[in-house]
Amino acid sequence: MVRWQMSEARKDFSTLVERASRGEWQLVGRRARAEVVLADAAEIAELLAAAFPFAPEVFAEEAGVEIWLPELEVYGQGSTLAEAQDDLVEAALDFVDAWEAELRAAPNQRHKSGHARRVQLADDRARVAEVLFGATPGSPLR
Amino acid sequence: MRVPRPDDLRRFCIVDGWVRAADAPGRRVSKHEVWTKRLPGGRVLHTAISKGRAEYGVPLFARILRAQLQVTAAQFWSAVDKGEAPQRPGVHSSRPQGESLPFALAERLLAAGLPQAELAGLGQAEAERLLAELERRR
Repeated sequence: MVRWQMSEARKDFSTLVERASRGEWQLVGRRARAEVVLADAAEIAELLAAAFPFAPEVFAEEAGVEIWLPELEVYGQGSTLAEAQDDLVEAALDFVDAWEAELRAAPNQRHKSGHARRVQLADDRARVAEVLFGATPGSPLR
Repeated sequence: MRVPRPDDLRRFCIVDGWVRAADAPGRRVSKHEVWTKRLPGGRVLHTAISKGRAEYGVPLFARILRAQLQVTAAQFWSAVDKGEAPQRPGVHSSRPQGESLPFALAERLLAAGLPQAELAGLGQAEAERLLAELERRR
């Protein structure tokens, strides 16, 4: 595994990106130890998915549907399941914004890091829905 | 069980001293109202008020109370109906006279660049807020 000094990494960043996207982790540091890692985003997403699964809970009533996401402690609501899913995607994105800005240093929120990172890595609403509900959004009742 | 409407949650947040997250430039504009509250010990509570339904179901409300707001239903309604801010365990616990800081917190503040003289008289909640601010700027 290649370990780069910061100055070398800066000069040759495109090589680092190319290698990282081939699945080779690139370790970068100012001294002997690695301080940051450049890695393929899909691989990180896959590793996180295995370690941090989501298990949304659905409460269906005549008047509508509510979904609670225990891993991030957020919820979505709607008159239909699809609306509640969409609302939960929004809530998860809100949570990640707040987590990045303020929550991640808080001792009562730190344990949500793996799940928050999964949402963060899914960079559009459709992918967030897939992360939260599985590969077939629209039928997440479990 | 009495269940709230979004207005009740908003009223609770105001009475309990929560801060509404601003839509900062460059940030995604949310359809929800996002609120946070800092507690002693560096803990931060988070809630987002959804407008997806006119009122909340009982199971969801129970989870919001326990996980997000960390109050009982009685405390919630007392805040909403009477304007009485809830007292959470640990929030008003008595401390010995003279402020002290946990070692790790003091060490991190100094490492983040706070002059030692400014540690004097700093309470834990204030110290944690300051540390978050200093670390954000780095």
